[in-house]
Amino acid sequence: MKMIKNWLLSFVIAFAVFYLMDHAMMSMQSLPLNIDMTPAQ
Amino acid sequence: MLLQKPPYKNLIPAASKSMLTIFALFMLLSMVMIAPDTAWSSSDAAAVAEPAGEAVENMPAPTMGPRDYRQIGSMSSRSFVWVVAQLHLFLAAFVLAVPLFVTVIEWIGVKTGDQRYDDMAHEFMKVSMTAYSLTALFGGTLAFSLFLLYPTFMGYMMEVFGNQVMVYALLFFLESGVLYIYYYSWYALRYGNKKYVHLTLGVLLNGVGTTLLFVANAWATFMMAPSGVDDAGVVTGGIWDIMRGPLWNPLNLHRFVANIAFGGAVVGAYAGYKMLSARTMAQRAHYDWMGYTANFIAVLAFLPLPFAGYWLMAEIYAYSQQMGITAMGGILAWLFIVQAVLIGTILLSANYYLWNGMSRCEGAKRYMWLIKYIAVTLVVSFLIWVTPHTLILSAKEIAALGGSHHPLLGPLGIMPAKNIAVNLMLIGTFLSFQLYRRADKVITVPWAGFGNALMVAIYLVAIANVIFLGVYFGYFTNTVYKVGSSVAQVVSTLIVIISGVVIDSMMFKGAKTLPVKWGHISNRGVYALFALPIAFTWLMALMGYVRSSVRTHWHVYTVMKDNSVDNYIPNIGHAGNMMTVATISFLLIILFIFWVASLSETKQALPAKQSAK
Repeated sequence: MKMIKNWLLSFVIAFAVFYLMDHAMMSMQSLPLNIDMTPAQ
Repeated sequence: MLLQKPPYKNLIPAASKSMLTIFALFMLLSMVMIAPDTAWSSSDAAAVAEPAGEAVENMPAPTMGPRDYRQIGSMSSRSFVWVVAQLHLFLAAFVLAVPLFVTVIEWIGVKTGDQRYDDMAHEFMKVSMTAYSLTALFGGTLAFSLFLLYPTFMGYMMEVFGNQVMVYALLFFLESGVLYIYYYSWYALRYGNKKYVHLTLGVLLNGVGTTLLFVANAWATFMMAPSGVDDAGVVTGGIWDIMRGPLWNPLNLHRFVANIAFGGAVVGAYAGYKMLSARTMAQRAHYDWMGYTANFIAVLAFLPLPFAGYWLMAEIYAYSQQMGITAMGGILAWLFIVQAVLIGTILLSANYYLWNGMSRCEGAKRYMWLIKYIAVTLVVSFLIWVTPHTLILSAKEIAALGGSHHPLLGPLGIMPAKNIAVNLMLIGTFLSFQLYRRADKVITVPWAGFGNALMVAIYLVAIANVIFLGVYFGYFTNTVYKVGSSVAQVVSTLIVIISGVVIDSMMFKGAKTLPVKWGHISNRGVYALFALPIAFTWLMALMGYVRSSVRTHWHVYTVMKDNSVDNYIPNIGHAGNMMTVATISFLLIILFIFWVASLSETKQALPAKQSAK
């Protein structure tokens, strides 16, 4: 049970960090993350 | 341990005193140099002269004619200066880099009390000392050849930089003085508080050396992106405006980091050379450890280097799109394919060395299964990176291919694919590095399970993020997104590296250490230590040429035209030959340096007649 918790928590942290980082890096360049699969306007 | 006696008691006050004394002397010298009425450039000189009623008018950049260029016999002046400048830069990069990591190694020796670090640091310096005088000789030859062959151009540069060039000369004197004191006082200032005086000298040496590098960088970046002058080249600003051009800091960072990687690779080859020629197991073990340390330095400095290069190129594009396109979209673009081959060679060699080195420790067996996946990632990424976008094809070949781009390989020729490849190669190399560091340790912290899970999650999510950003934004949206998302890719790789170092450092607390058998690496693994400096040297020659060539037919971009017979970008074959001449010449010089460094250890046996007496 503890092992499953460790893995779940690790992936949640990793996903959150990279998702927020992607947002931050794109917004710093005045770009939205735009993950709705449509070309940027 | 020798370094621990006498004990380091009350060393901080004494060390501080000596540091303060040296720092005060340095500051005093700096204040004398930066006296308020010192004229640094011609603009400053005019300002200083004005109160006396002798207004000096600054001159525009001269228009160059045939009389402004000279030749030695029928030799191309450009080719001559090219090779001499390149050799000076190779040697200068080496001698400025070695003291940087030597001081750190010396400091580690003091902290750990392990004398081997001190010995190793001293031996690295010994190699560097032989190279130092050669650096000065090539520097002098370069200066003479520039004044002889390009007198008008050099006259203009002197007009712009004025007294600043004398600061360079003064720094060079300081560098030489501190370097000799640092090296020759090694055994005189070895223990106790005196060791801190020696370390302070090391810090001072690196401070002067790095300043020297930054001053010289200002000349190169002024030629690429002039500042502090108007369109005609008339000096309008002070020396700080002239030096602080848009490319100065990116080049400072790039050269600083690259020098460390290059220096580490060269001393790694020295350790490999000594290891292969060792006659005892103890010698072999010592040089194996030295080679490992040098490779560690080279790889660690190399990992962030592409990001420093990225910043430099971004600033070049921001300064002049035309200049950026010349570099990456014109004739010079093909050289980036050669760059990919060389960087791929460096990464494959560094990884191969680490994988071989894992055979030194039994504990490495736990991680061996991962190596094949890293190897596949590296090779596939390498092949993607070297895939060109536009091929040089005949009409028949284009018809057979169905167009100028290959239907399957064409998409791999553009930047998004290469960005994915480069980042995956760096992540793979860091994984090899991390596995190597973990090989001789058994982690004992209670949260080891969570720490390992977090590290695995960071790797997997980072790889997925790099691929997603590259594929989606690179192929399914427009260009602005393509460039924007590459920044997030770079940061993904940096997160892996930084979190890997931090998490490991925390997990290694109280870890059980397994024995490491130094000297037990295979000879094939040691050969990788020779591949690294060869590829690094070629890479520096290549990218240095690209950096300089983006000025095209300008001595000083948009300000002073090059009207010599060599005012064109040579074809790739000629440029390749020139880089190769410079690279092979440097490697021969390095062999000479290694030989001279070894010569000091060789002692002639007493002749039989004298020993009989």
